Amino acid sequence: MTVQNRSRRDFLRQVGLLGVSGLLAACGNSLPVADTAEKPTGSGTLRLVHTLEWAGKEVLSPASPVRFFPTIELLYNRLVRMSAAGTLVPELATAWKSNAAATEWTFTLRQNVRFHNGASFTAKDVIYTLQNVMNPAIESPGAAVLEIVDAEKVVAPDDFTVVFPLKQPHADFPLLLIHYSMYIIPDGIGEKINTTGIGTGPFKLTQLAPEGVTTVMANLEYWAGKPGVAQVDIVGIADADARTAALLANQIDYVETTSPDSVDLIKQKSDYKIYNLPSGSWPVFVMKTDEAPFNDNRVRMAMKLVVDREAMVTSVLKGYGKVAGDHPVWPGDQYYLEVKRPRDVAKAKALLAEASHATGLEVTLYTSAIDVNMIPMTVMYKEMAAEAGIIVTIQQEPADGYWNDIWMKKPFCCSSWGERTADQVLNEVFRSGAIWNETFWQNAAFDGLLDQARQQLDEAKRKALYQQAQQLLADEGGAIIPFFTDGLSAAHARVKGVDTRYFEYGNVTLQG
Amino acid sequence: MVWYVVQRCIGALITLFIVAAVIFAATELLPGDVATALLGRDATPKRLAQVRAQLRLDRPVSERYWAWFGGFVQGDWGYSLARPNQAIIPLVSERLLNTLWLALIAASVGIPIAIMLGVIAGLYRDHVPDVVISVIALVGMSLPEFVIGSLLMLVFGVMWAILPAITIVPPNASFGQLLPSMILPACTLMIVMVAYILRMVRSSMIDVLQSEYVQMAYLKGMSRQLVIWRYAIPTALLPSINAIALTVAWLIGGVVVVETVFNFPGIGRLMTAAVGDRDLPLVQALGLVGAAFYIGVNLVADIATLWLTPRLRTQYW
Repeated sequence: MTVQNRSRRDFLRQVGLLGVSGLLAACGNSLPVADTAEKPTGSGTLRLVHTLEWAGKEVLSPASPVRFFPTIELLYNRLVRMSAAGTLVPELATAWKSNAAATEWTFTLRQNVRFHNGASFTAKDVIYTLQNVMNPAIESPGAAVLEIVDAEKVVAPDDFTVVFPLKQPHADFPLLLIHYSMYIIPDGIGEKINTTGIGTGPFKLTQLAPEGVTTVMANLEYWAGKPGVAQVDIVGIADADARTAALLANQIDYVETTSPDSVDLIKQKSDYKIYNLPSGSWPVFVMKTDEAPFNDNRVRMAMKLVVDREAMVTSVLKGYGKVAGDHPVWPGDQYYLEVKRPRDVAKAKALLAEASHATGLEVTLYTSAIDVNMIPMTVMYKEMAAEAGIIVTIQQEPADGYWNDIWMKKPFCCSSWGERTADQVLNEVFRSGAIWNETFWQNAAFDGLLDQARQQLDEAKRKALYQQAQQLLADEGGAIIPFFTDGLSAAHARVKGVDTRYFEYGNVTLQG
Repeated sequence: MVWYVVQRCIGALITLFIVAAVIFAATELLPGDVATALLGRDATPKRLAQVRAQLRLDRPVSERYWAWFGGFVQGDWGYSLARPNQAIIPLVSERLLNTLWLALIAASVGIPIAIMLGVIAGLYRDHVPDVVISVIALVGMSLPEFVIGSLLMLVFGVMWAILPAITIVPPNASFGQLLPSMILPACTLMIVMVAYILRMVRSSMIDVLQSEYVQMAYLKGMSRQLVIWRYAIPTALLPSINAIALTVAWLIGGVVVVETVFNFPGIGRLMTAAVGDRDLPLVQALGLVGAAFYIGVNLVADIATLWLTPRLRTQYW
């Protein structure tokens, strides 16, 4: 379950199209598995909504670029999932370990688990799922994430053990397996998975109709205990305001992503609840560090110091966000380092003077309505920078062509990214030579820290390495990251169990 | 008369051809091209080349225009970009049917109401019925569709909860399944439509009542009833035919907003989705369908006016 930015559709456009998304589909719950047996026997129908992000051609294959959220979260399980604490917990795998070099990972699988069609879950299904993701014909967004696995050489020494050899060492390899493309499908199912949705999850498909109402019913033999409701409907509504209206008209029970404006409306009705959950989505001002004036770190630091981050959270996000310190690892990540960067106009001026911009600095900031926060952020930045003698000219560009003509071309522009784990985001967006290295920052020490971290199996030491990398990036990188946005979800008060990140649909109940 | 109809039909085809050229040109004017618009941030040189080849963007503009328009006329509308392997014709026709049902309900209920109210307002010019009707009509005209839609939704869907606020049936649902969900969007369209038509009927009614031949009829001692029903109303309705046509044509455009608000599975919602997905072949096809409808309705109105107006009929006979 994800709670990201304003709209999942926008979010997935950024992340899904890139073919790299980390925690995106992470689904889970803080409760240990054993607790699920104590919940009341499921009854009632939970009515969810989906955004029709693929306009009706959604399919149930988790590996597909047009996979059907949130339905796939109801039908399948992964090997591992995220807990509310941001750490990995078992799902279809019960244990995992690596060799000393972190180049080979062995997973022990859960026994006595059955697919919806009655077949037993074994190691063959895991290997098939992975090879399906890596199949170029599938064009799976997961292929780039799991590229590190030597897919041809994955083996099953017995029915309940899988060994993943890696092309390079990766101490956090299990984290990659929470990607939504790694929902386990039965061996050899082929294209039938698109319409049958046979998994091991808490619900089984009864009717597939992305543009109407898709229904799933409780899997009473679910390995983690009976689901909390008897049936789930997933209604397709493309427009965000229409989703809010459907919620208020009692046509659906839960909206996963809503906007601050809708929140004000929903709050007026006492039988609805708003859940404000932190997320790792981050919009950013990108400075191209290989071009003047941003090739001087004093200028970059001055540009960072002028930002009043609290004010931005209050005004741009109406308070629904967390202050960030110019690195992209979000507060919910296990390796998060808090970097405090209070506004300091005097210091910014001093740095600019040192960098021989004492008379002031003129820059053009490119922005677009492509992300809902970009334009308000830009306008606030202009005002804040003016006090330090930085004259910002705002250049608004159409959303069409923005990623092609402006982003990674102009020296100073806006960009935005979805939530990813520390390792993923640091490597994909900031490492020298990475295709999405939008700041063009080249720092051998930073790259070295990331390499060391991937090889470091000791968790505390690994954390220290990732944190050093974050500090270095915050102090010298070309990204001005003022905040992380919160995810806002809304539900009818009778819906219980949707109040944490990574909750599990199997544990959601209806009460009263 | 026949010649006139033929003339008008040829004119309509020429208009359609020009509109098609404009629609086609508009997509050419996008920043970058269709391929960059479609791929967005994912535009690696390899994928760009693939998409360009697939869309034949490497060919000259004129060649592509003829291929596209020729295909359109022959019933080959091509394939959707964002919805792989989905031909545009079934995609559009399924939803067009839903939209036409919606428009038909709105028009068949709305037009008689509009005419009736317009006649009453015209007859009681500046008196209480006229003032009440005109004020309501002005309010209806000034409020955008999405405000009216949201208000109706709030009252009937949320507060009283007697009608579904949002449509949750798929595009291929039967008429019976769709009907409950059609009431609120149809009412929204109707309110806007009624306001326009009744204003037009009212003013032409007033014109006719002041005309010399109506005065003459009164002077000859004809009863008020007879004058109104026999001479005033038929004459007053003639100029309204074009207003009605314009309004019905507007319906097809107006549904874009209304269908989005109500999540109604018609061509309006498809258009919104297609624009969102940068699915340009689909946007072009829908644009052309809208234009064809607009031109067609106006053509029918022109012919009907001619048919119902003796003066014009004899002139062109």
